[in-house]
Amino acid sequence: MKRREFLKKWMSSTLYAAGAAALAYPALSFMTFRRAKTREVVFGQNDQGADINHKEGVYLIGTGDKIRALSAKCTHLGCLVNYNPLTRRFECPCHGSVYDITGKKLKGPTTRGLDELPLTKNSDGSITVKVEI
Amino acid sequence: MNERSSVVNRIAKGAGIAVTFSTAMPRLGLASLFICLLSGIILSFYYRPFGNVFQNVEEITSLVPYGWFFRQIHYITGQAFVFLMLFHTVDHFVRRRYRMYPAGEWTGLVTALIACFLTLFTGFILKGDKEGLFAGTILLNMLDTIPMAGKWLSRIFVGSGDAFFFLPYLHHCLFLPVITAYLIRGHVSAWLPGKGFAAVAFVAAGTYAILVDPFMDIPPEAQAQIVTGPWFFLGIQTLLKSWNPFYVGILLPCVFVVLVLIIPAVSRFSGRESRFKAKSGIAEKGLYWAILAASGAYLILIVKALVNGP
Repeated sequence: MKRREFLKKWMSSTLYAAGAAALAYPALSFMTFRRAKTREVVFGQNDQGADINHKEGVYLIGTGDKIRALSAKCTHLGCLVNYNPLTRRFECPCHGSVYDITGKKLKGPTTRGLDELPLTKNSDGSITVKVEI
Repeated sequence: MNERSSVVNRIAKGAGIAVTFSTAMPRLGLASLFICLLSGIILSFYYRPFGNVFQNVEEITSLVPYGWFFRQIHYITGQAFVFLMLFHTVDHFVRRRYRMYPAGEWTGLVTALIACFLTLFTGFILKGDKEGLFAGTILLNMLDTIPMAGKWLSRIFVGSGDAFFFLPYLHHCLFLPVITAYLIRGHVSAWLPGKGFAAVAFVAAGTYAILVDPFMDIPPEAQAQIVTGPWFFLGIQTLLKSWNPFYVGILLPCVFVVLVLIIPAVSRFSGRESRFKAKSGIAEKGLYWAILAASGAYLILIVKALVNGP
């Protein structure tokens, strides 16, 4: 191939690639856009009977002033963990990660503990927990 | 005669007794695919990927007339198609027929097989039960681990919130079947099933649908001790218990696919008179046995997971 032909081919390929990238970037940005959303999980007084309460992917732990909310999403790959009342541990049914009652990692493939979620105590005694979707 | 049909003719001429066995598999597979597509079209009249998807699927199975029948037919023919295509590919590979394929066609066919597995995976998600929900979440989080492009890729495959099932639905019903059909369009012309194969596939799938009860779907809010993915994912699920998700779920499968893709090109070098001939021959043998060993090891992992759990 002559130098002139090679350069011509190289230039046209570069132009096509740049054109494709110019189109792909806005297309991908559109396709992958997600508006940040949160949902609220409300634990009414009836939902706070035990020291571990579960509702819609949230564990409410403790009673009175020492109350905490933990996300039930395993920090490994996002499966929802089960609470085992016999061992008082959270166990992931997908890949076997185990967390203690405070959400700290005990064993398994995960690298960190369960995420703590912000909660608000309402005047009627209910508790609202905000969860990012 | 074009290049593709000449490849198929060479296969048909060169295989002796095994040609009956080798050619029956893809024809049965294609017959299964047609029945799968037809039952999928029927199911789409009631299936909705929004709201309570689990309830929608349960209604199809227990309330809608013959819903259980079409769901079972769709399930078993989809599995049969992918299983027979995999068998067909392994059959070709073991006989080293990849040597006959131009690199472009081989790449297209391997990509089509990957698209088939993705179609099965998205179908598994669309059950809408706990297993499906977790499978979708795991796929999303696994893709997320890819450096730079992870966020984009994961959002292309799985939605969030109320739209969680919509993207897998779009891929399952539209993009993946279209991609697969496009990639195998020339290849299948020689394997199109006659009425006999279609009848055998339909009778087998119908018998399965009538005799076998649908699998018990786990409600999303129920607690389950162990949640498993689709059968072909069980090996990866086992490895995910002790290895990094990026290495096991992304890098390892990609390396395997790249090895399968380059083997025809390597074999072409070993077939030519050049100073690389001897080295290429050794490289091809090495690749061939590495791919077979990796496939065998993965098969053992799947069987082990099926017997003892992942």
